[in-house]
Amino acid sequence: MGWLIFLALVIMLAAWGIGTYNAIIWKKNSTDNAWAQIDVQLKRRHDVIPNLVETAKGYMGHERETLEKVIQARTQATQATAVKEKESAENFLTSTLRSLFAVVEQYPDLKANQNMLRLQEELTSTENRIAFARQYYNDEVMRFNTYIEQVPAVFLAQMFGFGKKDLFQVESLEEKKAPQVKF
Amino acid sequence: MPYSFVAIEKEKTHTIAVLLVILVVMYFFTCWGAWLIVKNAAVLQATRGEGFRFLGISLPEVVVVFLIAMIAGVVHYAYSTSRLIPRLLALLKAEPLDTHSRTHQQLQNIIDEVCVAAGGLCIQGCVVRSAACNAFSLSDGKENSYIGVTEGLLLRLNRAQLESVIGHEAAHIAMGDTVIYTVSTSLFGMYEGAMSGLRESCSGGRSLRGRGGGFWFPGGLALGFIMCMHGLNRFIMASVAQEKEFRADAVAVKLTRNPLALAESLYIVSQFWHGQKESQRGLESLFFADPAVEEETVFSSHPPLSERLGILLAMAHADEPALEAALARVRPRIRQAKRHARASRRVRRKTDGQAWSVLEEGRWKGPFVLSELQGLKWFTASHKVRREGAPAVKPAYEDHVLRSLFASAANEKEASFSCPHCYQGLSPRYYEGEQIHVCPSCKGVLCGRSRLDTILIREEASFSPETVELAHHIKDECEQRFKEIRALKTPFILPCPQCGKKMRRKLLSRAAPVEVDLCIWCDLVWLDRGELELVQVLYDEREDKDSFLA
Repeated sequence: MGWLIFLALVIMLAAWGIGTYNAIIWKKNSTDNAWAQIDVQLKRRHDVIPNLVETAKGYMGHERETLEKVIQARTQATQATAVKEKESAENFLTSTLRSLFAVVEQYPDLKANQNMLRLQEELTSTENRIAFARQYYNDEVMRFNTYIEQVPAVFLAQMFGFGKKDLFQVESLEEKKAPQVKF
Repeated sequence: MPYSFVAIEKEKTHTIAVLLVILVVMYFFTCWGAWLIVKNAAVLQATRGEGFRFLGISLPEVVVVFLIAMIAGVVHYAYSTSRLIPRLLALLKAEPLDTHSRTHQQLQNIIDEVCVAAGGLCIQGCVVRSAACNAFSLSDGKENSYIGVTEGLLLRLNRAQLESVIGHEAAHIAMGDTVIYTVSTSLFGMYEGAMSGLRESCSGGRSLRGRGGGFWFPGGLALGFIMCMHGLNRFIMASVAQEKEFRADAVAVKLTRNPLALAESLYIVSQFWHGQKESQRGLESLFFADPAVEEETVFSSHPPLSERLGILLAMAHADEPALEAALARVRPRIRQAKRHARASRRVRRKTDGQAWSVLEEGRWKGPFVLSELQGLKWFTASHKVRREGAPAVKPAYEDHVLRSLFASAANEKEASFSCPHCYQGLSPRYYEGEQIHVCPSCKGVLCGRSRLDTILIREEASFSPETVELAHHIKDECEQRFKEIRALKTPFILPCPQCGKKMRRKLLSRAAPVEVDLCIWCDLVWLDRGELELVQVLYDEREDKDSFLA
């Protein structure tokens, strides 16, 4: 009788182990997929930028430096691979694009250009998609991290070496600082 | 997350199976009743009432009835769900998005963005050319999911607000509600029409019995069946829909992280007309706001808008007066602001004027012969010309000899269309976010008939006081003498810029008595200079906007 109870316990333990392991794998793959989705959207952004620069070039002969900065930032972003490296490269690209659009404001003809309007809408949409893809990735990472840190999954996670995943944070350190108001 | 794909798949299969079972059970009891009545009626007929005893149903008969119910249920299901989405889209008068329209492009982008936020849903967009303020979602559970938005809603919401509405509809799709609504509407919604027909005939004082004489029995049975189906549809919708609307709002906020935008959209929608009651009867659950009622109650397919608004405002740490104030601030009167710019452009246009001797930059040049004119790079159809020996000065496009010159030039440039008046190549332009083709000389406008409807619904452009005054004159005159005005039409004058066949000259509609040229083959409308603005003013001042479009 005793060994029967023991056998039942072993089977239950194995079933729990398999179930938990599968759940960890499922969540891990979900986060990987979410990361791949960010990549897709970043690629989309990198594809829009050359067209944007090309359209702006005709009107902004004196702003060559700004345009070159955007191109340089784009090249850096396409070459980055690691999460942290990608983060900083994309942040730099975002800041150069911001300065480009600030300059575009000074050129009414360029602002009214149909092609430019279309590209701006395309870029706005792409930025939103990146933000949403990042949000989805961070949600998935949070689910994964929470799951592998909770009892009882934490035992299996440690046994098989599943570690916490990094969140994708876009704000630069400067942006995180609270703004100082001076009178 | 409440919207994992595996959970959706499971729920979808489960719900559809439940709906099929409900259908079979309904048919089973209907067949059971019919069998019982027919059997007893036959016995009553045979015995002529002598020693009549009510007969029940034996087990083999139950099996037969069950088989009949099964077959009827499956046939009904197969019929209702075949070409489900195209049928419903046609019923809702939804059209695919126009790739040339910037507003539609933006809508498609927003849908794609929300799909990304939901982790990779696949949803297509469509649009309903109506001034109503509403949105809907459709899904057949087989990768075919649609979100439709009315032009009225596109006009009134900004990007963030539209995103929140799309988020709400995407939440319905992601949670599997849309599949239930779509299939259920298709299975049971068809009885809604029959039910309203019955209601009308009853209110008209005509009963089935009185009309058909001997048909009272099958008529009564059909009535009972239709009422059961109608009740069932109402029950399914009322039991599931209200709670699901709150959940969809919550998921939409989770997707867009912007409860205030959703609250603003709900508020704006609550301030405007939601849609036509009759045409959308039975389809209410598919919509963002219930089109069948002015104000939702606990018994309608949607929870009261005020209740949803209250929850969202609490999430956004705001209240209704603050919301109203914010919306009033961000919606300036665009038309008034643009009026001055339009007036100054008009004055500039009047000073233009050039010329066989051609008036160029205030000086007469020439005279030039035709071949010389052809070689002049600066010469356009809008230049004023004066034929040698004739005192009249007129634009080049009004001169019938020079017209041929511009017609051949337009062909060489391979312009997509050429003006039917002056044969200049028409240049594509965006007006109210829609692509139209404008003649650079006579300023006539060519656009598709359906695109004209969209332009009328939008309200970005402003109009001069002269245009408004002229529109009032036309309206007044039309009210007094519409028949006479209609009789004045001169059919078939201008050639269609696309197919070359003669266009039909007619009044656009009774509500817009402006003479336009219509090509019935290409569905294109040609409006002379200023006519588009006139039609817009007439549309804006009309209360019953949808009948205007029709």
